[in-house]
Order: sequence, then C-alpha cells, then structure tokens
Amino acid sequence: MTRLNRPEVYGIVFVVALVVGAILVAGANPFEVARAAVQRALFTRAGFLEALLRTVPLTIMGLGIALSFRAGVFNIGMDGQLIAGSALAVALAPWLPGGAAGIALFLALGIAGGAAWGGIAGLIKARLGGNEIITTIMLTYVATQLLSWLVRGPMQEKMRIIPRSDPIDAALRLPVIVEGTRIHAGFLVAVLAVVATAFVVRRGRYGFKLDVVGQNASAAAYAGMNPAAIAGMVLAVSGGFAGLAGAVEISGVYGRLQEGFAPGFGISAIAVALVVRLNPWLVPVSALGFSLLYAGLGSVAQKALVPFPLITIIEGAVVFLFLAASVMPARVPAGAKSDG
Amino acid sequence: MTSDPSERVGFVALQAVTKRFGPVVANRSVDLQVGAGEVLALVGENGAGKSTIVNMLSGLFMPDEGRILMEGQPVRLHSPSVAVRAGIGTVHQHYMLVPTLTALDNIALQQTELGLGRLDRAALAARVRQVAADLGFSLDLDSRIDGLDVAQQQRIEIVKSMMHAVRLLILDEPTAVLGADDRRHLFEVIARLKGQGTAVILITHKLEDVFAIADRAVILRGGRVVAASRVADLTAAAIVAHMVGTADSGKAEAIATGSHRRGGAPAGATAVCRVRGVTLRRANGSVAVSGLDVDLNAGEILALAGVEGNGQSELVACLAGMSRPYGGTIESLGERSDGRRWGAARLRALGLRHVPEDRRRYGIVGPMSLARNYLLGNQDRPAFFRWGLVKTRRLRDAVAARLAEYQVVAPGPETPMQNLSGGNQQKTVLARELGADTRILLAAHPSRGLDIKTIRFVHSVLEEARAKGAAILLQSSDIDEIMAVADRVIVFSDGRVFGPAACDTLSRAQLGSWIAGHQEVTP
Repeated sequence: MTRLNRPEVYGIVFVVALVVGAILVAGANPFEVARAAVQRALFTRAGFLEALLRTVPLTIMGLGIALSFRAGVFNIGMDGQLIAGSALAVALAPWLPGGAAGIALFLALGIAGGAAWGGIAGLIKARLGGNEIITTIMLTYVATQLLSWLVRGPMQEKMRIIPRSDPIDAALRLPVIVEGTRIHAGFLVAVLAVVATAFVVRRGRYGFKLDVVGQNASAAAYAGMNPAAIAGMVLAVSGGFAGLAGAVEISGVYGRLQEGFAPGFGISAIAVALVVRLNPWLVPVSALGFSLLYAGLGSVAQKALVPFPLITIIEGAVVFLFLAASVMPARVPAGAKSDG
Repeated sequence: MTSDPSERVGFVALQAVTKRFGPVVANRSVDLQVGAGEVLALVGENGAGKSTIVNMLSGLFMPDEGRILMEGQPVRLHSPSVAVRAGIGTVHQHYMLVPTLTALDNIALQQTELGLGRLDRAALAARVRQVAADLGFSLDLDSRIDGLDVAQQQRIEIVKSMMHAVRLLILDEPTAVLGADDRRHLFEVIARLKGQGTAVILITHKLEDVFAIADRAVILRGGRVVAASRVADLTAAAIVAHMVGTADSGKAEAIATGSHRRGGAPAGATAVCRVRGVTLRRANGSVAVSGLDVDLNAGEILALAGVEGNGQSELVACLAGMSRPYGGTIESLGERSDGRRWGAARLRALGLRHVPEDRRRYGIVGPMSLARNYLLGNQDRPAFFRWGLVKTRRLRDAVAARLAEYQVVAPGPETPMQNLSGGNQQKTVLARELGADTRILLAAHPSRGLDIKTIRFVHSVLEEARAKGAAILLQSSDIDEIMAVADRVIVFSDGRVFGPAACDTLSRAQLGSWIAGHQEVTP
C-alpha cells in the first residue's frame, strides 16, 4: 500500500490546472493539443524515429547524471561538458584514421574533452570545496561562448558563410544500422554504456564508493575513502558521459560542429535520471519517454496549435509531474515500512 | 553572605521528577532545589543525568513524572521561550554562537521581542553594555565571534542569557574549556550574581569547582540523586565515592565473564603502536592533551578514560588515521603519522580496525544492506572483489555466517541496516571490524546504549580478540566496564594525563578521582 502524500497530489493538480488554463487562454483546445502530441510521437513513423534518435544522447547523459547524483554531486553543467567533448573531437578529427578505430578514437576524444571540462569543476570541488552546482553552470556559459567563437573563428567552415565547422570525414561517421532511417550505431554505444554503468553501480567497487560518499560521507572517510577526491572525480566521469553523448551526436547525426545542436539535453538528462531514481537499467526507458514527449510537443509547435513559449511550459509541467509521481512512493511514512 | 543558603526557601525545585527516553531512564525520581543567591553544584559522571535536568529546566524536555516548582508554584516549562520568560537562563556547554557574526549581532539574534524585524542596534548595544557592566565584563561588541577565544565567547553567552531578567542561571560545564585565570574570572562573576540574589546551578565534573564556588552539591549517579549536602560538609573523597559508587553488583557480575584474564600485557610485550609527545587539539582549536607518551601492546586492552571532550575522541581519530596529531608522532603498524601514506585506508590494510564512537555517523550507511555495510572499510580487500566487481555470492555467504556467529537478529544480509535495532547494528559493526587479521582494534564506547546481555557479548568479543593477540584500545567512560575488562588504563582529564596504570593495582576510587581531575584521593 502506498499512501499518496497530500502536498504532492495538490502540486500535481495545481500544475495540471495551470497548463490546461494556459492552453485555454491561448485559445486552443487542451484535448486537441494532447491528441496531436500523442499522435505524432506514438502513431507516426517519423515522430517515433525522431524520438528514438534523441533517446541515444539522453540515455548516455542520464547515466552520467545517475553516477554523479548517486555520490551526492549535482552536475548541472552537462551541456557545457557535451560542448567541450564535441569540440575537442571535431578539432582533432582531421588527424584520426578512418574506420572503426577512428570512430572509437573520435568517441574517446569526446569523453576526454567532457571529462576535462567536468574535471575543472571536480578539481575546484575537491581542492577548494567549491560548490559544483555553481561551477558547472558557470562552466556551461563559458563552453557555450567558446563554441560560439570557435564556429565563427578558428573552426568555421572554409566557405565562411554559416557559423559551423566543416563536416568531419565520412569515415568517422557512425554507420546507420536500420536501413531507411537515421538510427545509427550510437544506439549500440548507448546500450553498452547502460550495461557497463549498471554493472558498476550494482556490483562495482566504484559504484559502492559513490553510494557511500553520497549517503554518508563521514562513513566514507572512516572507511578509508577520500570523499572529496571521489566527489571531484565523479564530476570528471559524468563529464565524460556528456562528452561521449556529444561525440555520438556529431558522428551519428550532424557530422559537424554547430551551435545549439543538443539544446538543453544536460538539463533533460537530470529529469531522465531522477524519474527512475538513478537506476541505470531504467535510464533508457525514461530517456525514451522524455524523447517521445519532446517529439510530440515539437509537432504541436510546428502545427502552431499554441504559441511556442507554451510548449516550453508544457514540457516543464510534464517533467514536474513525472518527478512528483516518482517521489511519492518514496516518501512512505516512516512507520509504514517497519512491517516487513 | 548573611544567611546560610541552605535554610532559604527553594526558589526553583524539582519534585520526584522522572524522565525516560524509550527504555532508558535518564532521571529517576529526582528531588532538588536551589535557593535565591545560592550556587548549587550538580555533580556526576557522564550519563548520570545532569544534562537531562538542565534540559528540563531550560524548557527543551518536559518531565514524564513529577513537577517543577518556581517559588512554590508548579510551572510547565514546555518550550525554551517559556523558560526564558520564567527567568531561567542557560549557558550550554557547546556555545550557540554564529561564528561569522559579531558579538552584538549574536545577542541581537535572540532578541525577538525587540520589534517587527527592526533592531534598534544602538539601544540594544547600550543594554548589552549595561548587562556586561553589571557582570563586570568589558566586551568588544563589534568583533566577530571567530576572532574571540573561548573565554570571551563564554562571556558573550553569559551576557546573552542575562539579557532577560534572569533569576536562575544554569551553567553547563562552564570551566571545561577555560584556563586557570579565566576560571577565576568566571567564579568572580558567579559570586557577583549570587550577591545580586540570582540562583546559579553549576554543572561540573571537577571537584575543585565545587569547592571553589558552590554552596551546596547534589551528586547524581545513574539518574538518581545519591547525595545532597552542603559543600562545607563534604570532602573530595566523599564526592568521588558517591559519584563512582561501589560496584553495582548486578552489572559487575554481568560484565565480569568467566574467561576473564587479568595481569596486563605479558612481559616483553610488543608495542604495535607508539604514541610519542603527541599534542591533540579540540575542534575549537584549544589544546586537549600535550606531550602524550603511551604504547599500545599486542594482547592487551588499554582503556582510555575520562570525561568526554578531554581529547579521547581526538586521540582515537588520530590512531585511526582519520587525522594527524597536532604535535608529536604516532607510529602504528610500521607507518608514521607524519608520513605520506598515513591514513585510514593504509592502516586498515595493515590490520587496524575501528569501532567508531558515533555509530550512525561513521560506522554504518543506514539505507544500505547489511552485506554492503560489511564492505565498508573492506572495499580495498581483494577477498570480496574480482576486476573491481563485488563477488556477490561470496560476500553474502560470508556476511550471513558472521551475522549468525554474532547472533545478529536480522532477516538476512539484504536487510537495510537502518531496520536493525541499535544493539544489532553495533553487533554488525563488531562482526565487520573483528576479523582474524585484526592487529589493532580501536573500540570507542563499544557498549554504549546496549542492554546488559549485549554488553556482556561485546566484552567477551573484546577478550577473545585480546587472546588472539590483538592490541585493543577501549575508549570508555564507564568505570565498571574499565575495571572489568581492561588491563591498563589511561585517563585524560582537563589537559592532564593520568597513567597508564595497571587496572589490578588501581582502586575504583583512585580511578574516579583521576577522572575528576585529582591526583590522589584525599582522606
């Protein structure tokens, strides 16, 4: 028996009422909006494939979030780490060999770039005790501006027209694995990442250390671990996941560096991981769910059923609802669990 | 003083007050009273029930039975603000000051009645100066708390508590952190308050405080009042005898197990840990112990005794590799405390085990399973890992076997630690920390809060480890426990170190007077 907590039920009712009210004020029919979103995401091939494509980076980043949040370290700056990883990989791409080795190296460069960017925040946290929420957000601004400069300056395409880089060598592109779609081999990378992360979290020494640091840092110090070093390190590790996601997106989808190619993925990944309570096995499920939501709402926006800002509001509301719903069973009153 | 204080009518009185916390009785039918212009010393060992009395008078707890009277009228002190309004001021042992604020701001923090969020700082400062002048203090109100020493902080606490019309001032261990001069100043202030007709309750464990300033003393043991008398009629020996008691026969019997062996470490004992010239500092920066020399030998139990806060915890933290001593060196299992490799991980790898003082904070991770808790501190031992992954089945089997051996009542290794009772949690920690390869065991209050049966079990486990050649440091404030299981004892008291001395040549009274800060029991 799970008893629902009243404040959260009120919260959900309030948010639903707010969104429905906003849609009505905008002069649209809330049911029509919902129908259009669901139809596009679930019942059209294009919508579903678009969602699947987005599931890949969200899964990889959700895993990185799960690792850092398990250690009680709040990496809010995955967007910046994704940019750093992507930029490093693209910048060094001309020197990479072709074929599978080249692709592997390309992805490794993405990991290295993201890990370095996250590692800056990690070093600040471990050495100086700087709050990672602040530093990762700030480093995201830095990375965004750096990207903006790179694609207009040193890394801009030879034509110098659009702010973007030249495409990477076709030999470095992840191959399409389902004929007639854009579903690429990054899918397999994501599956691999899920399995590896799940093993580390469930059975690994490293996962154990992360959990101890996250749940009782004093006990970690007592047991001979270095909580500050572990917390700093996990920022680099989760940054590596963000960088990997960026490299996969470039190698699998865009083929070049450009601005805004993974808009807000870092923040979405937080919701993805939190909704399944940081369980790596469930992260891909959650990532697919969120991707379907974005695909559906994207079509609502295209059809101009409601003004565009409202789409963002609906997105936020749905994330809130999922989070509230996932928190509710966790907050069973203390007395209820002793009978076991 | 014009009249004998003990003849005055009790200004504040406790009548047959009992306070329980779950199964633990903190105060059992306590009667005490303090008169206006009287200084009452409340004396007793740790856990004697002094703090509970303070907390009931300052409105933090309500008595379960009995009543509190003020000027003969029953009062219900159901919150701290009620107690303050009734005229009871409290200076807690651990100061409640915000380190980054100035002295004046700290006093302003609690002046809620001064208006709707707006402070008249000038008026407040004037009042604070007036109160301070009455007490004979000169305070720098604009300096930050973290720039003041403990004695100055204490003065601010006293002024803070005196900002209302205070008729009873409670000082909880006020001399614990003061040097000799500051202590004398404090006593002058107490004498001044007394002259103004304020009642003072002084909580202390130091006999010299009692004789220096108190009119009457109430001695507590095990939550009961065992003696209440005019100080003039008391001797140090009598107070110690009351505090320590004669051996509580039931408990002593429970503690003394049949296999008990006494006689200290065997001749030619090998020291596995050498402490040389060590200085320890408390968290607030004051020196707790200096120039400490002691050896920990294989096959002995060395008890570390004394009132808490005198550096025992700091010594254990250093020995555990969780910190380095402020001065001097520790050499343990071949590692030196000033070496690069000094740390809990390295010492654990060499055979150090540690039953921590604060089990919940350090010893366990509540939401994790018993099996995963068993990995705590064992996370670098190859026995349970292959390629960085836990050997799940092997761990589960090992934990299940250990839990059975230690008679832990739990459904199984996958049970979350937090579902276990305190006693079973402690047994689980002991099961984890006491393995075949334990060379040094630091056991900090291993039996605190446990029932007699479990205490007996804990002691048998310690004795077994000693028989296997482990060197055991037993941090304890329980004289019965020390006399029952330890071979040698060392006492930290107020910056001084007594011992180490062999337990079988030491009387309970001598140990008690060391804990109270006296070299010898005066006849």
